[in-house]
Amino acid sequence: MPELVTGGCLCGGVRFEVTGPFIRAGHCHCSRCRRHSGAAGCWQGRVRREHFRLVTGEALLRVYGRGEGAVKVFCTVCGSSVFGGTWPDGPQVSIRLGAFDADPGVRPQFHTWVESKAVWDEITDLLPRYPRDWSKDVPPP
Amino acid sequence: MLAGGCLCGGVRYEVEAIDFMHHCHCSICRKTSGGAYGTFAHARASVFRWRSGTDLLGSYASSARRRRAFCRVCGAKMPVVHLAEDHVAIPAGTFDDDPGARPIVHTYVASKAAWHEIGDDLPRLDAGPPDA
Repeated sequence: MPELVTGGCLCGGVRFEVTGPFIRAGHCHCSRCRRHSGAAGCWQGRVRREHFRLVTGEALLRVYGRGEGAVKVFCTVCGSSVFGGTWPDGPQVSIRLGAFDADPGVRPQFHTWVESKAVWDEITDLLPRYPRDWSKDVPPP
Repeated sequence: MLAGGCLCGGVRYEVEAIDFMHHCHCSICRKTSGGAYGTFAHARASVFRWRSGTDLLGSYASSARRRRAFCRVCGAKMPVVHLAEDHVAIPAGTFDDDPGARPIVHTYVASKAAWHEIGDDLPRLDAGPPDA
């Protein structure tokens, strides 16, 4: 990946940068991701916290869904989805791939919650498909 | 009648019929959804109704002609009604059930994410659909 990749929300109020490699990236088709994104789910990549810096916009961010699974973090000005996972805590930061300005280098590596995907959402690639959560221990069927 | 709503359940809507659906790969759809593309169902505004939660809606002018709407509580992307054009664009991920229609075209493919490959056989346009 490039030495520095940047991203932010649509209005530009939230800006961030990533300076280290992605741990993994995937496409989640679960119902919460679909409702939140309004699309075929959420696409995200994870980096270690020390490789992430929120440049501006912390006051514009709202966190939804604590205690219900991965949180949904969005810009309250333009509604853009920017972060997920355990924001703002934890050793990793989950970043929506659509929030990057240019190619972040990483590619989605798997699909999760395929059993919940929308009927109009057709998966056409050959990436591993997990019926539910991703697991480092259990390969998909 | 098709129904849908946001993630927190505060905003709810219903629509009688969908005219068509499409996937949009433009930079605005990618930024707002946080994903590779937005998927929208298009209907006439005259067959669309809000059921609840219009006080929770936020919106942002994404261009001179268009806004993007979202629930200010949960950030879910929400329908945008264009009354003068009798048109509503509904983010398809917010439907409760099968909307019946299926996507028929990819738009703004010239702007698609480098990290996403389109794998289906639907037509691909470099610009947008005529009325969306």
